Amino acid sequence: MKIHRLTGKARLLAAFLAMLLWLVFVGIASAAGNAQNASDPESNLPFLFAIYTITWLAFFAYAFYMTRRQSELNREIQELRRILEQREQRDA
Amino acid sequence: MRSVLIGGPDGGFAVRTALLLAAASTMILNLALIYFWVPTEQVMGVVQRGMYFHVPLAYVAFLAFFIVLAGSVMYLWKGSEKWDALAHSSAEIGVLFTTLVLVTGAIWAKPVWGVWWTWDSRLTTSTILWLMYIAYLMLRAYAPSPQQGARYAAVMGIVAFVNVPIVYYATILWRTVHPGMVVGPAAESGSLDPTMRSALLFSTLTFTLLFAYLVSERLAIRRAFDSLVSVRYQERIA
Repeated sequence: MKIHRLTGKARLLAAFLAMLLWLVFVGIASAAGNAQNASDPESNLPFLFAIYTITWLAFFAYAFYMTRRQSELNREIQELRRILEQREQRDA
Repeated sequence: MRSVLIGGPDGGFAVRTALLLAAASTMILNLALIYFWVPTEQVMGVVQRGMYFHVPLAYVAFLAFFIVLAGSVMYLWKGSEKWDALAHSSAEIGVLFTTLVLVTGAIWAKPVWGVWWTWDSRLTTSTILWLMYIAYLMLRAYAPSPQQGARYAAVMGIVAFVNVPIVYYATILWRTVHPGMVVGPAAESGSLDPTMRSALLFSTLTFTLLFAYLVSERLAIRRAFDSLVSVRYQERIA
């Protein structure tokens, strides 16, 4: 399996997503501790925040993965086509 | 090899862009409805607004697995690659949606039930469904050849769908702590406030558009992969 190194922009994005995910987990952990004793329904806000953030992170991560995969495939196709054209010109 | 589901190898860009724009614009409106329009549920409080993500995600996962079933049947019947591509793409995105259903459900359960997870009938059957479609993807990945993988996966895609109605009717078939159905054929009339029902239906439409966009992107990857295989073959015989 071919493993690709992340580019500068992708590394920044990955770091940002990881930080956001960490914040969500800290928020949930803190809210989970308070939820047992809380009588105020609004105290559950971090859980709602977590539901929405995790869903969005997952969709963005998947869309990002697909975009990268597609550009890698297109690059490889173009490279192979270039090799084929050079070979045809050499043989002609 | 050529797929004709949504555009040609380089085509379909306009369709994908249109789907992305439609999904993004409806999602903005959807969030506005969830935050500013729907009332707050009295017992569970704000966390109940998670329903507008959790339930549509589950509905779209069912839709995805229905497409896997239809694609698998058509592939075994007609033998056309386009049906296999559709089933494969839909299964992958269905697994993503089911993962999110399980995660968002666990987060919603903690403040309401006091636990992240319980071996309730709906939760257990949903986990089995998730594992079955992960098995579908693994079957494809580890098959000796892509053709064999596609055939095995098609059979798996048909068998696994049996679990979908079981998941849906789990709250009727067994005693459960999970709330009953609020949408679909087994939903009780008046089980949901009309405002909440409208927002839920709009959210379902939004996630369906998002699903359509993701499937179209996944199909474009499949087309690019098929082109790559074809060019590699030409390179070898040249």
